[in-house]
Amino acid sequence: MNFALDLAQGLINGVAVNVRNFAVGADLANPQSVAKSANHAVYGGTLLQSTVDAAARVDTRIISPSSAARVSALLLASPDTQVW
Amino acid sequence: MNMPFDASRRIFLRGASAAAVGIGFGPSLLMSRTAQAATGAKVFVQIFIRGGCDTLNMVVPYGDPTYYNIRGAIAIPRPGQAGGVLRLDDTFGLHPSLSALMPLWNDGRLAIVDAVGNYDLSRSHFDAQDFMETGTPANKTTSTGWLDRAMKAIPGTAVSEAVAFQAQLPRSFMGGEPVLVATNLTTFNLKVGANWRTEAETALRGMYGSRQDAVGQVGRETFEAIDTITRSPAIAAAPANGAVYPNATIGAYLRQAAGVIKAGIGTRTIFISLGGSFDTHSGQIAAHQLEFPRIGDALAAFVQDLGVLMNDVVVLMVSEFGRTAYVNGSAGTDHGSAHAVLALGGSVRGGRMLGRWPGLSPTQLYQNRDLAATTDFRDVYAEVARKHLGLTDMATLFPGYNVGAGVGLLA
Repeated sequence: MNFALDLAQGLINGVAVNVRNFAVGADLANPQSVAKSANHAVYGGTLLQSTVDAAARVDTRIISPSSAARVSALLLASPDTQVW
Repeated sequence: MNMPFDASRRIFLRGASAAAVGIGFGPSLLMSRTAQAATGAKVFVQIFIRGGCDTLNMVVPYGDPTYYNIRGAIAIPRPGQAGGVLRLDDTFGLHPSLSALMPLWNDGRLAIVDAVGNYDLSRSHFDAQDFMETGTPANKTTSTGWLDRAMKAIPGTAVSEAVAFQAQLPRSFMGGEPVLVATNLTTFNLKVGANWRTEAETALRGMYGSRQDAVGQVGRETFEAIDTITRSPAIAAAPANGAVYPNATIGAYLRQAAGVIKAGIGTRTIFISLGGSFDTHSGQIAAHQLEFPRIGDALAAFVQDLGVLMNDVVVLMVSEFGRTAYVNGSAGTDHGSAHAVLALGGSVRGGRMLGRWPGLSPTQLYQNRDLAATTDFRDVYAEVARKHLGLTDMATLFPGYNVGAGVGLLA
């Protein structure tokens, strides 16, 4: 979980999540757009709708990290992204 | 994509989540355990020195007629000489940098089992560590660690709680039982900024809380562990009884281990992984002068910190193997076989050397190079499991091995 959060927050040296590529074509100011696009671009539409919805509920009034980065972080840290 | 080896995926998942927040798989009972304050339950602490510690210079057989002939420049002088060993008996002495342990020896709380090992452990660090941790030498197919099997055998709701101080799940705990894996319990939390912590926690708790599969279970247990630690300030409280831990990894881990025990959250087993300068192929004297004081001071502080609680604690300090009896050409030693195990605790029959000393003459060495193993490491583990943790099914704990009567380590 924290690995994913670190990754999306740019806290791992030498690695960064390019939100534009993570959520191709999304309106980065719109969390719902980011979550929806990432679901299709990265996960092939396999994320549970509840996961997409939960990630999309981020507060847009928080400036840093950006809402797009926080959506990305939550999706990467979500149970849907873990392997078993 | 299907992965061919499911176990590695489990290690990854548990390890990755353990960067600061981690917990193993299995039924979660953390909350109920938390409600149970410590009630004199026995706690086992295992310190695993990684790298193959040269215990021939930790517990020095100064009385063995061969020691000074084969150790050359790295030999530790006899008792009473400058830089000499601290006399334990007529044959053995502690490295002088372990002086903090002498009061524990003199008080009968520290015992040493020498020549512990198994020739199937191999001289590879990784294989030997794996075999020690699974408890099945030469068998690479064992999927569970011996401490996981021990935790599975301990009945009740408070007993499946296990703590590992390591960056990733140690092999010893690999299996189905839940394990709290951390390097620093004070930072055991989601790594997000304060300005979006509530948002992240709410979202992730919701995501994992609604899942009924193993991944959901891991997430829920992780958050439960966060809650438990958050509600147990004693874990991070200052050491008691004037104990002062050294500023070193072993000090930090043992301080936290004491905190966990004092917090009374039902912990029964604690695993501490200790890296450092123990793989002493060269420069061994300096390496030991750096590492041994840390170990001695940390163990002494742990005992002081716990006070009477130490009566219910047993500490075993092991390594994956000992090192060659002969000094090498770089003032060091190479990978060997048997080693000395240090044991501390209330029920330890301390102040004595245990096991059978095989001697260091060429004919007594294993393959003419290593201290021979006269006590299988599983017999030491088994004695703790039986007498301290109250387990009885040794066949499950150490499959394929007929556990002996023990070495007389515990009363």
